[in-house]
Amino acid sequence: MTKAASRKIAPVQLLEDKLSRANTFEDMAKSVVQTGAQVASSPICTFWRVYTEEGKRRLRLAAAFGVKEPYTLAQEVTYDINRRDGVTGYVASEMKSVLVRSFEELRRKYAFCHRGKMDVIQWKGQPERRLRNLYAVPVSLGGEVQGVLKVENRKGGGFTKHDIAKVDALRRPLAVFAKTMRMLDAHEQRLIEVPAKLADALVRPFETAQLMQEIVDITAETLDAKVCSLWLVDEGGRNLIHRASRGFAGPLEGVPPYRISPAPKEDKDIKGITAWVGIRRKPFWANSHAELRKHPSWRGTWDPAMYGGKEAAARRFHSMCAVPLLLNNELLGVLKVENPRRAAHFTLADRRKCELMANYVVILLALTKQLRLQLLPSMAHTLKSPAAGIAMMLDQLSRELAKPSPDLDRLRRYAEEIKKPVFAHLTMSQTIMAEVSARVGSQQTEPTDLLQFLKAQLVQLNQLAPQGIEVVIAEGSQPYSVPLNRLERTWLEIVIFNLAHNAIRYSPPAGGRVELECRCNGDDRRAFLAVTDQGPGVPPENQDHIFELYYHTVVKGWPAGTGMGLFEVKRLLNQLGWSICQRNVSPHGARFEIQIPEDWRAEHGKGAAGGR
Amino acid sequence: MVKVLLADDETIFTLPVGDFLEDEGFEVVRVASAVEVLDRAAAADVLVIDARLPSSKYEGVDSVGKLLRSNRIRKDVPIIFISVDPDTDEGPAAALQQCKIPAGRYRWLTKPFEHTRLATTINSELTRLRGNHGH
Repeated sequence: MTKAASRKIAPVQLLEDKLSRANTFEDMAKSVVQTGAQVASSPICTFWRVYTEEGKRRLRLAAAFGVKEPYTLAQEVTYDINRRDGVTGYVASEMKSVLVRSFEELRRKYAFCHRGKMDVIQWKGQPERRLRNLYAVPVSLGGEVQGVLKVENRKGGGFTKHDIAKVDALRRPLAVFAKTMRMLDAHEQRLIEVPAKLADALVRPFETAQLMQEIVDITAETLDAKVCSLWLVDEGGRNLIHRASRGFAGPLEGVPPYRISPAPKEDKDIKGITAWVGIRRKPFWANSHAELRKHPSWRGTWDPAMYGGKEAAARRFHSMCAVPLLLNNELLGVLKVENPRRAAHFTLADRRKCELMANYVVILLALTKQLRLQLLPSMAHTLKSPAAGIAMMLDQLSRELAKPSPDLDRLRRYAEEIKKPVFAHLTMSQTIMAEVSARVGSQQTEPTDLLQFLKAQLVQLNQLAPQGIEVVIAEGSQPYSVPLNRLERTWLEIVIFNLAHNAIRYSPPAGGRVELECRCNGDDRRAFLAVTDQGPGVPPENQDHIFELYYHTVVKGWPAGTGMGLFEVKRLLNQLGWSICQRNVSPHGARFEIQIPEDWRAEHGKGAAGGR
Repeated sequence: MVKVLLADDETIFTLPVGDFLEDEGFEVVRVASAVEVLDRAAAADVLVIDARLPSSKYEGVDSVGKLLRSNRIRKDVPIIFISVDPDTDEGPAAALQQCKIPAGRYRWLTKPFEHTRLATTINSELTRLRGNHGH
């Protein structure tokens, strides 16, 4: 071996030696910087590796040697590769080594990219005094940069040719290491994104088939699987039904479901491995078709649908992982992934990820079940109650009318009383519709005079208010125009309707008065809308809670609320960029005041400003 | 005259049901809360109670449970729960079980019901519990 060759090999051997003793990725990264410092006779060595954030490649610290400042600070430092962001970023973007023998030289030659991001951390803010020399090299694989290795402040003068050769020799093994870390990053990132993706799928307009398909798509993408399928237990608990799949080659029609109940004692009597996973509640994996066929439960019934035929399945099948979906030991279904895209078979880590995915899916299924079992019955009760009340009132009304001489006073009271559940029903329906209407609507705005808008609401409100309670426009109200689109006008209708309904409920039954108000605050051009009643007001201990979801109070004689009304009011006003506050008024009553910011539309960035 | 304690927090129910029972010859005391049920049940011959009182909780069921446990109502007083939910639903069933109200001690009418059905139920319960026609 020549002297030159021995010089190249020695640092790599040193690195291999240190890496062989490392037990964690962190230890491995530390081995890299220890080796770098050692081979270049330098007190400082840092290793920066590429990662991708929002589609952009950046560098971050993988490990540092000789950096004494709090390490967490250094971990916050990143370099944008595409913008020659710092000398380190420049080395990566241009894939060129940088060698400087003084800070002066660094500043002179690399002023266009030098940012000094590590100056405080590495040089106590005095790089001109402390930085003596620097050698930074790009670490790349197949022409793609994977990281940057930097050594600094070589002892006894600048870097020699030997130092440079030794550092350069480390570049290739480091590139492999950095690329491995980057791939692991990508896998982790995909797993981290799963809950957000599933949550997003769940909150879209609810359609079960679409949700199931999204679960399959997200699972396939996260685990890099060509084939993925979701099987759920049917209502009777007897079968596993195919609910969604991706990558299936043949038609699904006519293929029987997997029978899981009654559960056979012997594995050989279970028809299909998917059924076995469900019945035995155990995960299953196989890394060849032969392995699959050896299982006593294997039937290949779904091969034509999945792979286009039994022969095709034997040819195309590589690897499979099937996991039962269990909620408190109750079987919900089975999640299956087959044929990884970038490998011959699923690894142990892949199987763990598959189990993790299955747990996410269980959470999602549990949420939908919760919705079905709890939220919907509660909502149904709230909606059913006023309707039942009306039905019973009509029964009694017709009984009274059938009498030879009906009691007119009774009939009047019945007619009045029917208004309450109708009012409550309308308000609830509108509030629920607010969620739906929030997804559609024209953006075209039109000037809307809020005083006229309030007056238009009066007719219906007075029709629905019990006799003795009057809804009026407050004295001194002024016209005030704001540009609103159709959807926003609907929101505002819901807001006023809810506030007025609330005010009417709390008004004294005889002689109660609810005022709707529109005013502009003199010089500062801020406008407000208000709804004021003459009821008991809101007790101070409740004032902090009235806009919370599901917070509601009971008013004698009135149907119970959903606890959504004032919550929706605040949410819709927030969407408009308006605000609402509540205060009690003298001698008694509650006042809800909606504040419209000055020049609201200009601030809101949607066109012309509002004004009188 | 048979005295009926009618408890519901919504006038849309107490108004027609109360008027109907008065027309049928019962004396009706209308109340709107579980506290009032506890206060006035001892003087009643029949309890007609909304299971949810207020509607977010099963305080109607709870108050009857308390009355039974403390022997504050006579054994021959019929208990009729009224609710928009059937007693087979998870919520009511759990509330009845939790309050230890025996299945044979009450009747359950799901709203809306025909008023005549309430009168029939009251009378049949009075007969069953007292052994004679109490009305």
